[in-house]
Amino acid sequence: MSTIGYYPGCSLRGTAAEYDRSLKAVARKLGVELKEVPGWVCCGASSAHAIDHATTLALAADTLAKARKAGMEQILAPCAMCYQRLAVAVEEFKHKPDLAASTMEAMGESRSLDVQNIRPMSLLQWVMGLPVETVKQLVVKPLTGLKVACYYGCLLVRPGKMTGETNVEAPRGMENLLIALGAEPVRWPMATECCGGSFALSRTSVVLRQGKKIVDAARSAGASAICLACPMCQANLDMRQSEFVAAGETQLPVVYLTQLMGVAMGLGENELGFSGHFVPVKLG
Amino acid sequence: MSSGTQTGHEPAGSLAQKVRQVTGTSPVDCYQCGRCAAGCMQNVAGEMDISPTRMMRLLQLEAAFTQDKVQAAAFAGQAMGADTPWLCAGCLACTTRCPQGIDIAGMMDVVRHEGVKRGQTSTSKRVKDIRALHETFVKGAKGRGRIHELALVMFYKLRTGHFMQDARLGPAMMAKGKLHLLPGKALDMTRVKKAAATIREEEK
Repeated sequence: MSTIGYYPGCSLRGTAAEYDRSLKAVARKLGVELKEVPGWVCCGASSAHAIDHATTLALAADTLAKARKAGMEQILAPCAMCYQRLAVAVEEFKHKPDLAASTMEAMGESRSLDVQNIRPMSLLQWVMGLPVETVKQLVVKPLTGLKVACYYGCLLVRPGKMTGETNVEAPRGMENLLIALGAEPVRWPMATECCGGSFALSRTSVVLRQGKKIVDAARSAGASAICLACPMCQANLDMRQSEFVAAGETQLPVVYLTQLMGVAMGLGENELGFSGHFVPVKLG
Repeated sequence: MSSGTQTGHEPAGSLAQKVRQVTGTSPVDCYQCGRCAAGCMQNVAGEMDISPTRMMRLLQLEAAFTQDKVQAAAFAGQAMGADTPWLCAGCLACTTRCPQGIDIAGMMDVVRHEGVKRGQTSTSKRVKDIRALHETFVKGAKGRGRIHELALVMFYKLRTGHFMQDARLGPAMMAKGKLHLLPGKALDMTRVKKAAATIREEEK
């Protein structure tokens, strides 16, 4: 049993509850304990980043300091946005040790943030770090014949300097894992296109436009499901799919990578939360 | 990525200099190849009033017109007053692809932040909506520590008057257990506010 820090973020407490649930169920299977960062705060998402840099950095600093106090080094942030905000903050504090020190002082911390010992981790980084053999041993219901479009979106892979992704235009991490689970990832051109993110509320037309392009491309490539690891992407592609998919066209279920891992590991509907989806999840 | 490099050819007080300070890269190094504009999903769809490449050019022009302060300020004003920085989704495709290694999305952030700071942002309808969401979100995050999604939507609608938007989606989300009626307990955000004040002060 190994233990890593866990930063669920606001989405996984609400609209992305099935991501939280399926991740925890899969982690249990893998013998990984997810220890929640005590008193974590919102990352500020794209909104704080857009208009208030100081608040963005302060929010991340608070969560990072709490994680360090709890002795955590690796912090798994399954939401791509949360991951990005924490990782960018760590980078910024690495470059600005004085700012890190004064920020910690303002927060009443006795020591500065030891940024060298903190590693925010995206879900993609976490699964890519799992030994393939370990994952394969847990497969009881291979996803044989399931054609999947792996959708990365923006913030899981970009910028490559930070995420460590060497092929930012055509990453293969999700595909490799799905092959190990028995599925057949399709080749398609929209894997790293943006879904429109936070424009879902403030400029919905952007999300409908991008959603249509993405789902149509996945369908044309022969996929029967889209697999991803970001609550924002999932909400945009799943909840609004009936609004943008043309009448008569098939809708594609949009599932989290952890849900597909769970299916292959023999976990049931209760642990995977498919009832929370708008497009019914029928696999295979 | 901020490396805080201070070298370069950006005049003091220019937007280009600010971009250099924040991102460690500069629009002055742009040779206008257009790759950022070609790969920007918002620009390609015709959303932007000024393409990312053109935005870089405006910052270059501001930096070049050192002898003509009025003209320089006009270029800067055009950049900050555009809708483009608000329509950028921050997807980082441009930053990733720039052959000169310029953090173009980071430049969009700087132009947006400076526009807010100097009161020179666009006041178009769409920018007002986008900004209203950001401000509502930040208020929620700073105020309670975590976002209560239902409250976020309600406050956004109250502020913008878009009451009927997604009127059918809300109840459907509720039925699927995706929206909680009540917010969680508010967290103590005192130290986050203190930290933000310190950071703001140091980055003046």
